[in-house]
Formats: sequence, C-alpha cells, structure tokens
Amino acid sequence: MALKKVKKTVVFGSVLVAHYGRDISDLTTSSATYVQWGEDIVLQMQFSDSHLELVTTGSVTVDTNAPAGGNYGNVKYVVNNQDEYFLRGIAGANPSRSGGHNHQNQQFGENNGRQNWRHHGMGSALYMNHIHAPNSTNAQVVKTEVACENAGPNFTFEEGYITICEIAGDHYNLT
Amino acid sequence: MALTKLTKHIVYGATIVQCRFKDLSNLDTTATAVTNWDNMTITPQYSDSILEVRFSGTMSNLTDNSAPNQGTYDSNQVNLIMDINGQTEYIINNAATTSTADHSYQSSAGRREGKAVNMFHRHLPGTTNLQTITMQTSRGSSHGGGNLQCRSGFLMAKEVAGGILTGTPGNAFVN
Repeated sequence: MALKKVKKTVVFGSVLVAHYGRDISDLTTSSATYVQWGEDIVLQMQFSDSHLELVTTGSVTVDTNAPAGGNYGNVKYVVNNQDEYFLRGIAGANPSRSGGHNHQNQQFGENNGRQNWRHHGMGSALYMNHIHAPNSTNAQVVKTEVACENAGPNFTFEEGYITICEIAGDHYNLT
Repeated sequence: MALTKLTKHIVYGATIVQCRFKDLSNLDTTATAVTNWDNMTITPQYSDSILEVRFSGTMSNLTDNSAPNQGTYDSNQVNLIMDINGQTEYIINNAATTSTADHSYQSSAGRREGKAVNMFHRHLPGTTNLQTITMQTSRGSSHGGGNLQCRSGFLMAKEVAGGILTGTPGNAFVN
C-alpha cells in the first residue's frame, strides 16, 4: 500500500496548508467611494477550521493639492463582500486656518500679498496585517479596496504586494 | 493505547504551534511619556519556540495651533514601541512624526497628519511562561499641544516551533 502524506489532523499545532502571493497594479483615486486596488483573489479553503493570514505592503502618496479639510487615504480588506479590516488616515493632512491676516513679505517690500499654501506630497509606507476565519471550505474572494476619506486630492497607491496563507487549525488563540 | 498527535520533534522543518491575534482598542493621548496602546497574551507551548509578532495600525497627530500655542515650533516626534513582559523589545522612532511648522500667526486648530505604522519582530521567550505583548507609543515633544490618535491596531503572534535545521546558514539551529 502506498504511503500517504501526513495531514494536519495528526500534527500537534498547525501546518501551513497554502501560500499565495501577487503583485497589485498601481492605482490613483480621488474618490470617497472605495475602489478596488488590484484583482480578486479567489482561494479554495482546504479545511473549515483554517485561518487566512492576509498581508499587504506598498505605499501611498498624496499627489495633488489637498483642499481645506480632512484629506486622508483609506484602505480595507473585503472578503466575500464583507468588510474585514480598515486602515484609515494612512497618509494625508487636514489643512485649515481661520481669521483675517495681514501678510508682509519683507524681502520684496510687499504688504498684504496673497499667499497660496499648497499641501501635497505626503507619503507613507503601507502595511496591512490581518487574520480572517472563514469557518467554511467555501471559496473566499479577497479584495483590497482604497478611498480618499473626503473626496479631494489624488491618492496614488503603488508597489502593492499581497500574500495570503492558509494556516491549519486547531491551535489558535491559546492565552 | 490512545493515539497521540505528531509533535514538532518528528516533523521535517518547523510547524506553527499556535497563532493568536487581537484587534486593539483605540487610543487617544496627549502624553509625551510612554503610553500603553493595548496588549495581548500568549503562552508558548515549547520553551525553544520562536514568536513571530506582526503589528499594523495608524497613528495621526492633531496639532492644536490655537492661542496660546501660536508661534511655537511644532514638531511632534511619534514613536512606536513593542514591549514584551515589561521589556522593550523593539522601537521604531519617528514612526509617525509630523512635519515641522513655525506659526507666526494664530492658525486654527485641526491640522492632522496620519501615517500607517507597522512592526515585524521575532522574539525568543526561552520559557513556557505567559508572554504579554504590549504596544506602546511615546512622543518626543508636545509643542503645539495636540492629541495623538492611534487607530486600527491589529496584533498577531505566531508560535513557530524551534529546532529548524534546514535552509539556515550552516544548517545551524535558527534559535
């Protein structure tokens, strides 16, 4: 009789059942509505008690002038159309000022000159780390979505890479 | 005789003994001293295991530029700290430090700069005692007042069985 490989069911602890990785294409958005960054990733779970470990790296930059008010980049994981994990305010700013001002530019002898204050170019490395428990062997559709908290400047998400691991149960959350 | 599960000792390579994870509660602070964000515990099953700890979240600074803070030099150094059992294990200084600004006139409150922050760390407990992993923050300056907002914290710790012999320099034990 041919020998069979050992399954996770006879191992104390867990084994790594599956491992997947994919590049994510660059995306620029100024929309307050979430748009998908990259493609759907469909994973067929091998065991119902497995957990999915999701990790995404990349960067985000504010490319154009941020108007007054909060302007922040957001990113989230969506699995089977359910929001799983948000990172809000990963880059951006909230430029604001109030009151009347008299500006004096001493170097050029100008008084009450008009000032244009532009606020852009802020960037941040992006790292998302999450665990998802499907509790099912059904296919899991993983999406990464991004948005601008208040529609305004362009946010560019670049150099994205996602890895997904299926980690077999049953040794989870032992305190 | 009752069957027992295969333990890491007879597996070629390493097994994941357990994986524990937690959504951290939000933190708002004006403190400059080291301040706890949230914590998670895990009890290693073997004393020679490796803890792989991952963290992601966001930190943003609301700077209060209203009087009497006008004219102050505003540069908040924001640090991210991982503490395990009361020992500082890993620090990322300037993880979410804001830009400097010299306010020559009274500007309104509400400027906020956000950053995605993350940590990836490896810890050798050397014991099967309970390990408490605490995420912390500190600030180098409170000039300009302001409130630090810590959000979307997700902390994960994997116990990876020790004794890995293959694929390492000189095929020596990893730990």
